[in-house]
Amino acid sequence: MSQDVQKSQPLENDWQSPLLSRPPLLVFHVNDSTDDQVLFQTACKHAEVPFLWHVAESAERGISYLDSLISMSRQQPVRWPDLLILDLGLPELNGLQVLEHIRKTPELQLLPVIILTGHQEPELRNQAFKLGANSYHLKPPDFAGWVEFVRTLYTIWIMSKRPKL
Amino acid sequence: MAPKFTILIAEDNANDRKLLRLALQRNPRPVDVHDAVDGTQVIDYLRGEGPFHNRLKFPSPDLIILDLKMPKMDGFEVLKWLRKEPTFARTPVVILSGSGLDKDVDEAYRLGVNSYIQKPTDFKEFVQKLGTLIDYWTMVERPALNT
Repeated sequence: MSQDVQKSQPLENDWQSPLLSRPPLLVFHVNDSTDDQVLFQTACKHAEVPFLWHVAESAERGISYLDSLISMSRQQPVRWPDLLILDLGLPELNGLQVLEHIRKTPELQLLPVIILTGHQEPELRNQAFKLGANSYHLKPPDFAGWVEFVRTLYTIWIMSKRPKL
Repeated sequence: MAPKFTILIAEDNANDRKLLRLALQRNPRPVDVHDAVDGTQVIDYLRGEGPFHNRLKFPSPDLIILDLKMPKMDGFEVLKWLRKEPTFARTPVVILSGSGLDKDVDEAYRLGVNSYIQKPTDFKEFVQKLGTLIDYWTMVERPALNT
């Protein structure tokens, strides 16, 4: 298993919010910005949504982690991510190339991919949808926006039927 | 003022269509809802043909809520058509189906659905799920048509 992927710690809460009593979803967050990772994770805690996360700080590390899951799945059952949250502006390989890799890899092709980016260009958005992004979001402008985003993201995906990888 | 969010509901069951409209009306966010009663009507609507020729009255949808089991052309066939059609290949589609079978769910994602929701039997839950659906999809950056 790749050592370049950071994993979340279980949420510590004495009081169980209605959302925290729901099943956790495992998010694989591919984003090179530490600020964004912290914002996402802090917003999850604030919104009391039971996301667990693994983080990769580059496209290469993200792909390497997913490939290691594929290899491992041939030997034993693995915990696939429920969702992949993908930034587009990554160094070296960009997010669209990660998306393309996922959609071309049989074991990963059904994985829901959520684009979360600062890029507003319609061209990039169209390309992401064309390559099979499940949805495309601009990074929220403030912390309240992040909290609303993670809460809605969790709620929609916990109520959705998700594909079996 | 932000443009109204337009939803096309493709559902053959009249009771389910009524329930959907009722549930959507209970949502505080204003939405413009249109119906298609089978798969071929979805295509007529999107092409602006027949009774749907007036684009001002029947605008291109921001979201399609698609049932799977429909006469003439089922949801899978509609989805296949949509994803091959340059103008609508990127239009967000959510399956809303009574089926929770893994094979239906996986096939829908394979054909490019954006998400898949199993119809709840309880109306209160139905209203809640549709509310979340609208909250989520109005938050999503939408692809442009025909580019």
